[in-house]
Amino acid sequence: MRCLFALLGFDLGPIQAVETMNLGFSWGWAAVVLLLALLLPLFLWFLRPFEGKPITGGLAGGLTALRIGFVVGVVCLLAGLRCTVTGWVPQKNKLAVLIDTSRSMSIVEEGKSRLERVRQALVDDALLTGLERQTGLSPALFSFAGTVAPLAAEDVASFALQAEGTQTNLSKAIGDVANHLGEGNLLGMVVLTDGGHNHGDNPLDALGRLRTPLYFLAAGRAGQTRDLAVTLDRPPSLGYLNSMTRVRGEIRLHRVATDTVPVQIRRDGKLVETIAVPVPAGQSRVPFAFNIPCETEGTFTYAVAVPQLENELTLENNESGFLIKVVKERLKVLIVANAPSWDLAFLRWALKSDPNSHVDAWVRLTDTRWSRMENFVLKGIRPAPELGPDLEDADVLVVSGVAERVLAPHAEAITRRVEAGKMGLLVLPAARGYRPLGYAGSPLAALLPVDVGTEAWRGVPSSLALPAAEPGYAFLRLLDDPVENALFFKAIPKLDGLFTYGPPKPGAEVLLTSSLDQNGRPAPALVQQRVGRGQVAMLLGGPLWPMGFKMVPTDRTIKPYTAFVLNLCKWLANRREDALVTLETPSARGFVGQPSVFRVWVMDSRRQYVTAAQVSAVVEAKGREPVTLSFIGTSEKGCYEATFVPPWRGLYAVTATARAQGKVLGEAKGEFLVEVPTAEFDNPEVQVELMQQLASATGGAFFPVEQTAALVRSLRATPGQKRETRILDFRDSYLVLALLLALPLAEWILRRTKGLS
Amino acid sequence: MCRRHAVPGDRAEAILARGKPVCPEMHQPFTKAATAMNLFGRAARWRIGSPRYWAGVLMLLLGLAWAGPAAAEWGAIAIPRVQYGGGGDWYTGPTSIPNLLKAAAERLGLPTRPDHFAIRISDPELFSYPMLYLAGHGNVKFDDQEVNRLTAWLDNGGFLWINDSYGIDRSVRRELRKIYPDKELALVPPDHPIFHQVYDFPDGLPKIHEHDGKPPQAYGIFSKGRLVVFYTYESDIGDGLEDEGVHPTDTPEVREKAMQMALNILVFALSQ
Repeated sequence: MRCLFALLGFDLGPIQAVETMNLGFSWGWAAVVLLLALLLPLFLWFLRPFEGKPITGGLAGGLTALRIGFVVGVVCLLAGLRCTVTGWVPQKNKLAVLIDTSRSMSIVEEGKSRLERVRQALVDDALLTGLERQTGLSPALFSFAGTVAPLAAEDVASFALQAEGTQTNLSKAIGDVANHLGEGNLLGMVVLTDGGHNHGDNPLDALGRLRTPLYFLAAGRAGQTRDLAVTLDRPPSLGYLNSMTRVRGEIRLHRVATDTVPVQIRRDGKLVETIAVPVPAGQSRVPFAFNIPCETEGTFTYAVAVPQLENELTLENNESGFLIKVVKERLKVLIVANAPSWDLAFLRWALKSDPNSHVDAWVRLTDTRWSRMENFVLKGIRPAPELGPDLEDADVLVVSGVAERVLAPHAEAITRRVEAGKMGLLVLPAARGYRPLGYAGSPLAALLPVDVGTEAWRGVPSSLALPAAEPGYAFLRLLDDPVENALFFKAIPKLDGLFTYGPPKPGAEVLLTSSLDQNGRPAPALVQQRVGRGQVAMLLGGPLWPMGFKMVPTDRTIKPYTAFVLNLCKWLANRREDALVTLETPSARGFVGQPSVFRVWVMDSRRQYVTAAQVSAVVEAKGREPVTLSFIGTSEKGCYEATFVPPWRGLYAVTATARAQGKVLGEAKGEFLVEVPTAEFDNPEVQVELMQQLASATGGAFFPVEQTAALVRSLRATPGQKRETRILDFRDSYLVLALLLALPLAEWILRRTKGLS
Repeated sequence: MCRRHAVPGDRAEAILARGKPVCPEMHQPFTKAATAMNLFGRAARWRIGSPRYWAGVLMLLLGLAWAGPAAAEWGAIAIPRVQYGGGGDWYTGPTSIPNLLKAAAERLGLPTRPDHFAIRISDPELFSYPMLYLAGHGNVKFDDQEVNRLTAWLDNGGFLWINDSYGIDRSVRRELRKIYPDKELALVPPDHPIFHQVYDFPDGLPKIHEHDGKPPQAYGIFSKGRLVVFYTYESDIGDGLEDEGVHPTDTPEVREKAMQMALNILVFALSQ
């Protein structure tokens, strides 16, 4: 019957078996009778008397029948002929079973891992057979962690599943299965998990309205685990020789009673220090920080470890590591300023606190008097600045309101050095802005992260604020605690005003905003832009010195300001090897299973960026098969990118090779440390409450994994059928139209063949 | 030294608190206001619709178009004087610093706020001013809290210029010893950059006002490689900075010399 309807161009939808069919009219039978009474005599009158020609009675009857048939067809369509089909629709005929294979399922409790308990339920307790018997449905099988993947029945029978997923996203896994199988078709979803959701949307929000009942089998024992963990918060990737680098971390205690935790710090496997971190009573998360001395140049692997406890939940989070590259300190700052100012005085004062920094300055006093400072010492007065030699040696150029014509002769050198990553540029606000100083449209304006032509002054005091996302730059992290850090920036004495510009240039990044509103958004206060391999930062408001000096009498002191200035300049200095091919690893470390982006910069022998190079890299962990990466060009000139997803933990050696026209341009080597993400162990308890809430919200049930029989019994909904009615309008059928047109055509043919007109 | 404009301490304090000038010569704001009123009065006689009215409107529009966006005025340099205890006349020479800051704006293009105002060391606003001016004739005294605050202020970027108006030498040395017990006031030699910043003083500190017939001497206290206290003794630069006519004995040449040296001090403080 479905085929017949399909032939007529109708779709019965989910109706599998047709029970009844009824013909009817939209206008009702009365309308049909009236229409026939009106139209039929009219058509028949035109038909008779067959043009007076002698025809047989059979032909006359045939023509009349055709005419009547046509009129009846037209009348039926006009009156809205329709068919009401009633049939049976199968319902709740699918069942899904989801198995959590995230790393937290490897947690061992009472001698058994959580995944082992799942295996027991599925294989030993024959959960699948029980479900099939109860519902009559063969369940669809899936495994999930961060994403969901289908499983074959054999996979479950042999139970070759491994707890390897680095994150758990319950919302996505359940949502994807519901979409895939059709929410209305699902009798229910049986989820075998510990409920350790740690990624994606909150399941209570995302799944609260799900119409499919969720049946949870909780793997694991609540209240049985204890764990001691250490995590590091954005460990540094770069250190400077003869300085200390701050490392921040957190110790997490789960059912561990202690008043101190000894933290071991190892460099390249050798113990260098042990610090005792006091644990306040009742605290389960204790932040700590320590300094590592950078005494030798080179790359070092640091590991931070907490003791391993007996019967600990997992030992994978008892150690965390990072790779740090110590480079020679040579922070040479060149200041070119239009006038002396307190901002410059305090900037120098902050830089002076670092014994490794060297500051040269040219400060205009009058048009013919420029004061010259060499390494913080005033060396006299010159009639004009002589920037050439200083520029070639500077790591950071600080420009403070100096006219464009002063820098114009050196614009090419400045651009070249910034693009090559050999010099950073810090632009401080000019007293009356940069547009009147001739920067708009100049070669130097191309380096700036904003369009100078759109400059406008807003003399409204405004506070500084960090952007919503946590700062990715160390110089914006002035206090260990991120919340206090954000509050600190808000508490910094206000700027007198800001220069506002149009939107930052593409690729520019706002590092600090202000409380000033600009087109409905906070006006930027510090903007940075990458130019080639170098960095350019522009401060848009001022003065900044009160951020340091005014904080002296407070408990914050001048130190955050000093750290801000020093670290900003060090970041701008952006030291790189003087090589044709440069490899940039993403950070101090990567994580197993999480993509990391490697970048390679390629220059030719004339130190011009090469845009058509073939770049590849071999990434090799000790004792493992090497992986070859192919790089693709980016929008930045001479820059190539490749994404690497580390499969294993450990130290990887990376060798990048660049070729152009078959010739090897150069090679760059680096190292990359890969850690195992510990998010799966951050909250190691079985999340009973979450699973119970989800089960309750969706009409399902919650049971410990050992009670599979109870779960099977609780599957209340049974698969079955429901009656559904569908109305089919014949005006929608192309076949009906074709038949209707065929009737006059047949009459015409008949008439022509029989000599009628 | 200017006795003519010296006012008793409590009265001067009250006047300063009201933000009014303590010196009769400082009536420029009133004069400007009167001029403005006069212009306004004339403008009021312009009838609406008259050619003069339309010319005025046109000029106003042209002026606005020419001015473009409002000019930035930020980071203005202000130098308060120190209101110290001990009974000395800390308020002496009220026009010195405003005149210095006016000259800094005119000659060097520095953004300045040429106001005459004073703060105590214990004032919460102390750290809003990286440079202080201390002058007077009598006794200078800081209590323990002020000593601690001043030490923190100096050690973190502050610069104190002490001008011996006459008779404060003994108390200044005593108080500085309280701030820096391990440091002595050292003579600043003529080749020091402070004498060559904007104007050259090959012989060092110039003589502006005669006190006891001694040569002018510049002393300094250096901390962490920075000149934190600059003490001008037997020179009285502040005297030479005052308004013309306050000290009839000061010739224009002497006053210019004082201004040049004061500008050197200011620029050095900003540059070191």
